[in-house]
This record gives sequence, structure tokens and C-alpha cells, in this order.
Amino acid sequence: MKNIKNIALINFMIAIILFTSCSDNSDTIGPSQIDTNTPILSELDIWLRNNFVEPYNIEVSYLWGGSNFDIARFLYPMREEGVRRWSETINKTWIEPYNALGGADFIAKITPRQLVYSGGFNYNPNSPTITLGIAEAGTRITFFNLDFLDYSDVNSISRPLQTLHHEYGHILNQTIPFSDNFGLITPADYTAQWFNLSNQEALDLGFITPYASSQEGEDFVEILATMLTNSKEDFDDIVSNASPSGQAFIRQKQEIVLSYFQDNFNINLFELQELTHQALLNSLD
Amino acid sequence: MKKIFNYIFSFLILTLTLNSCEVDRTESVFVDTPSERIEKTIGELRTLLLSQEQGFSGIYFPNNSVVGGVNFYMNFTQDLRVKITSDFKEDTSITDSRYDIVTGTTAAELIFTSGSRHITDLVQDGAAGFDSFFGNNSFQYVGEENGVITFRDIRSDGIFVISPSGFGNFEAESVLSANTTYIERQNFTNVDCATESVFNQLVMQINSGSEIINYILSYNPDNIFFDAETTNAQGISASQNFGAAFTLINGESALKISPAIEVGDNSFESFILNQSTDSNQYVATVNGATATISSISLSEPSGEDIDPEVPTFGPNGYLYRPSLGGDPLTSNCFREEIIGQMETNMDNLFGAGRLTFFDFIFFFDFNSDACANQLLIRFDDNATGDLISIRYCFDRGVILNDRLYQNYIGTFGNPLDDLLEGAVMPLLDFFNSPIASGVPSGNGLLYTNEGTFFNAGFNVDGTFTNLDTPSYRVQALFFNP
Repeated sequence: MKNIKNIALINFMIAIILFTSCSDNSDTIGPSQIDTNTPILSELDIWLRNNFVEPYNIEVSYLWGGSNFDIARFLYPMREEGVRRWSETINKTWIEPYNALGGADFIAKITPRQLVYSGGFNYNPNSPTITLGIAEAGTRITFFNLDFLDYSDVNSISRPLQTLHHEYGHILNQTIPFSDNFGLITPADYTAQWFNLSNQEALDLGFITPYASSQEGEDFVEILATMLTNSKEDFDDIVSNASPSGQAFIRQKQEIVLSYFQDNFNINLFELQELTHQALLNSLD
Repeated sequence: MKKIFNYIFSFLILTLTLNSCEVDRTESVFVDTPSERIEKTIGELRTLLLSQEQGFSGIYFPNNSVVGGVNFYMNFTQDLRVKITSDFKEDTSITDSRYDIVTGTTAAELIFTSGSRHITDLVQDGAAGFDSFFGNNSFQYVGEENGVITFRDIRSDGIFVISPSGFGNFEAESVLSANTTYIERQNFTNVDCATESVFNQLVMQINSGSEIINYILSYNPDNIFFDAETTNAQGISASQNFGAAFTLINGESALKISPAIEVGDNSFESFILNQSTDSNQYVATVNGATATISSISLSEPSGEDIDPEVPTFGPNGYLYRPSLGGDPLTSNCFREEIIGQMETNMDNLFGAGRLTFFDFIFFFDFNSDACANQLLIRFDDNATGDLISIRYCFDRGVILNDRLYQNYIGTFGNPLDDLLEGAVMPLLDFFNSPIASGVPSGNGLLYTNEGTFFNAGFNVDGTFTNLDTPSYRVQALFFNP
């Protein structure tokens, strides 16, 4: 009994010591020290919010943030004075035509969430090529060498627009894949050394551009992008320069691209081509 | 047993008491929390950059291994905008772009968030060779001392140092300063072909009183970069490379180099233009020791390489074709005032770009005056794709005191030779080194043998300099038939 009392007493003492010896004197959690102030917005920023963020939920990122770019490349931010005009060009030549045929909220529903602008060329190391644009995870399209746009030269403007239509084609494909039959048309001629092909060699093999020969996914979107940055007549002229077998291959592929848009999005691609090409011409000086 | 039990319990209680409230043994390295420290550094840099109503001036050395420095002038405003000019390119007009101060990996960083060509041209030029970064948009804040703010360019290890501009009117004075230093940089390499000599050499002499060290300098104006080489009394060579910035120090035209030249305890970094001389002479003075960058006249080579008995000086011909390359000893004055002038003359005759210089071949002959000593000049006709050949005659070559003399006597006689004689007169004048009755009236042509050149066989490589206008030198080869 005495032992039990002793044990009880000792346990009581231990409990007192344990409860009282470690007092919690930490401060209460204060307000956040992270700067949550609204960033300073320029007129340009407000315009971009009104024309891209609010209607389409697309962020246009033109300010330099290292995480958007590979620091091992010779890249730098775009000059501010070119941002609005390039954004308007995108709006007229991409968003408005798609929305006109696919429905007012077509772009808002299937869209990259971020457009990133870079002023400098994205030179590829150990390769005689530059990267014109990148699409990442269906959420972001990055444009390069935008400081060098010349609105008096249709080729200068159609080149980055081809990048846009190309990358957006990937995003559409990520939403709805295209037919496996596409890859069966010229399966043996896809090559990682695509940059060794001339335009003519690519056409003769059944590829609309040399890059189209890199893999079937690129092949699909290169046909799309070439269509949407050229008039129907110009596109037909390009195809007519291919060898007979090359023409046949390209036309087979084009049929699949046309069906893909018609069947999945109820868009007549020839009508879209007319709208995008006219918008391209209208965007020039 | 009971005692033992009590002792164990007492010991346990003591142990619990001592250990349960462990003293916080972590050291308080920082007084402030991380976010407070970040905000403090960013705030410090922001306050510094906004403290100068008339902005800052400074020099950015992007990469001490490959490129020199550029003068920058920047004026930061509260709304995250910055006005910038620099002397990197001829266009020194101010750009208005954006900046931000953010948290970097280890410190605050100044980022030029939108493009200013004064910054981006450096990156673009660096991209030309895929080999080196010449510039960046992000600069790590290193610190501030006596108003001088130092940044580091982490990517290429560049250093960017700025201090208050001291201007009364930033927009006017910054552009004026950038123009001044840009022109000084151009003047450093501008030569007057009428007075310049290919035997002038850029040197740096360091005189510490007890010791003199001479460096032979090679300057690359594209990269604003010097290669310096010295040879000691024992014949051992040493080299050092450094970038330069043509700048203003206390209003005086100056040359700042990076890295500094270290000799003994002296560090030579800032060279002031010596206004009392006509030539470009920059002098740095440290503790009574001086380092002087200047151009000196070296004695010309002896010319003993020339020998009419050597088979190369025969009918095989001395060929100068720029497209072959490999002629670094051909002077700019020769390229611009002889080759360039001939092309300009052709443009005036036939329209711009119709005829472009292809090559010339001088067939030397020392025995005949019947046009065996002959100059063949060829031009590409870009309208037809044809190669146009024209020929001009010289009296036999004469070698006196290791110099070549020969008189130009006229065209070969074809109509085209006659038609174009005036247009190619600069080249005819270059090879015309008059001599009459064995008595020269000028200084002659100097020949130097520069070794051999392999092109489907060994060719002798050599230069000719017209010693009456010693800024004209051509390097070419005697080709094997």
C-alpha cells in the first residue's frame, strides 16, 4: 500500500514537472511577411488584362522572369513597344478566326494559359537551327526573336504566326488525338536529322516542310500551320512543287487534318484558312 | 531494495527535470526572419537606386575573358521604369524600359524586365559565335560602399559598378557622355592612311622606376579587348588578356581595363588620355610608377627576302584573292583605299554591285620590258556571271638595296584594259615604284617572306608594302602552276 502511495506520489510529481517545466512562450503567428501587394501595372499591363486575361484567361508574359527561360540560351526580354502590336496580331489572326467558326468561347475553352514573349533568338547549341517557339504541357506557348518582327514583310510576321498555329495544333491534339492513320502515310521517312533536308527534298518525300519530317505529330501541325498562314492558292502552289508521290502523300495527310477539324470541332478548315490569311494580310503595314 | 528503488526514481526525476526543458541550443545567426532579411535587402537596394534624381553612371564588364567594358547611364524611377543609355553601339539615344528588384538565390537581384537594346545588344552580339555570353538581364546585388554600388553578373561572372552620375540633366548629359566615349573608342582604331604605317605597333610600357616591362599589344575593336605579350631578358614570354572601356574619369578621356595589370605592388587599372600628344597615348600612374599604352614606330624589315633568282619571282604569279582568306597582314588601308576604291570606281561606271573585285595576279619579270612584268586584275560580272580580266604592263622589275622598283608603262592594249585603266589606278599606283636610269625616285616596294601556304602544293606566302605610303600592305601567295 505504501509502495502504491509512493508510486502515485512520484507519478504525480513527474506529471507536475512535465506540465510546468516546458512553458510555451512562443509568439502568436503574426501577419504574413510576404509582399502581397498588387504589382505596379503599366498601361500595357492593363490593356493585356482587358484583352487577354479577362476574356480568354490567357496571361501574356513579356516581362523577364528567369524561370520562364533557359538561362543557358542567348535570350532576353522583348522590347515593350512591340508587345501590344504583336498581341493584337495574335488576337486578329488566331483568336478571332477560331472563335468565329468554332464558337465565341472556342479559344477560352481550349487554350494555352500563358503566352510568353522573348526578344532574342533561341539558338540551338550543336545544331545549325533556331527554335521559333515552344509549347509546354498544353498550357504555355513561348515565342522567340520577337524583337525582329518586320510588319512590312509578310514572311517576318507569318513565321511566328506559323509557330502559334503549329503549337496550338499540338494543344488541340492533346485535347483530342488525331487518327493513327496519319502516321501510316509516310512512316519510314520520319527522321531526327530533319534539318538536313531542303524544302524541295521534304516536299518530294511528302512533307510540307522539313520540320514536318521530324515526327508525325509535327507533320500534322505543320500542315495545319502552313495552311493557316497561307492562302489556299499559295498552299496549293507549295504542294504543286512536290514530286507526284509527294503531292499525293501531302494531300492524304491534309484530308486527315481537314476531317479532324470538321469531325471534332465542326470547323471547316478552308474557311478558317481564309479568315487567318486575310487577318495576316490586314496586320501588315 | 526499497532504497534502491527510491534512488532510481529520484534519478529518473532529476533526469526528466533536466532534460524535459532543453535549452534551445540553435544559434541565432540572423536577428531577422528570412522574409524580413529579403525585404530589407530589396528595400536597401531600392532606396539606393531611387536616391539619385539624376541617375547613375558606371561600367559593365560582361566577361573579362572575351570582351571589354561598356559605359552605362541609368536613371531609376519609383514606378519601376529605368531610362538607359550606353556607348556599346553608335545609337546612344535613351531607352525607357522596366526593371524590378527581386529575391535571387542568395541576394537581391536587379532585373531589367523589359528589353532595352542597350542591354540586349550585348547578349545578341555574344550569341554570334555561340561561345560566350556578353551580357545579361539579371544582376546580383553585391553591396554598396561610399555611394558605389556593385553588381555581379552570375552567368558570365561579369562586374557592373555604378555610382551617382553627378549630372545636372540626366537625359542630356548621359547621351553626351555616351557619344564622347563612343567616339573616343572609334578614334583609337581610326587611322589616317596618309600618315599611318603598317610598321607602327601598339605597345604598353610599364615603368616602375627600377624596372621596365614592355608589352606588345594586339587590340580587337569588335570586342574592345587586348592581348598583351611580353618577353623578359631570358627570352621567356608571358601573355595577359584584358578588356577595356573607353570612359571618362573626372571628365577626362580615359581607358579603364579589367582585370587590372598587376606589377609588384602596383595595380594599373585607369589610364588617362594624354592630351599633349597627337597620338592615342593613355597613361596610368600608381605610386610614381607608370603604365603607358601607345603606338610606336618599329623599324621596317630589312627586305633581304626579295631575290629575283628565287624561282617564285617568276611567271607563276603573285596571287591576291580575298576569298581565299588567310591574309591578316593585308592592311585595312590597302583593303579600303585600294580594293575598296576600285570597286567604288566600278560602281560609278556600271552601277552599284555590277562588278566586284575577284583577284589580281602580278607576274614578275626581271629581264624584259615587253610587258612580261604584268599585272592581271579580274572582276566578277554579277549580271552575267562572267569573270572579266584586264592586264597592265610594267617595265622589268629592278631590285636595289632589297627594294623592288618598277615603272608602270600602260595597258596591255585590249579595249577593256583601256576602258578600266582609270578605275584600277589605285592598284596600278600601288605597284608603280618609279625608277629611271637605275635611280629610284621613291622608296620602293618592300617584300617579306611569310613562309609557305599549302594549297594542292606548297605556295610561298609573302607581303608587299609600298614604302611611299607605308599604310598599304598586301599579303598574298606565289602560286604553283
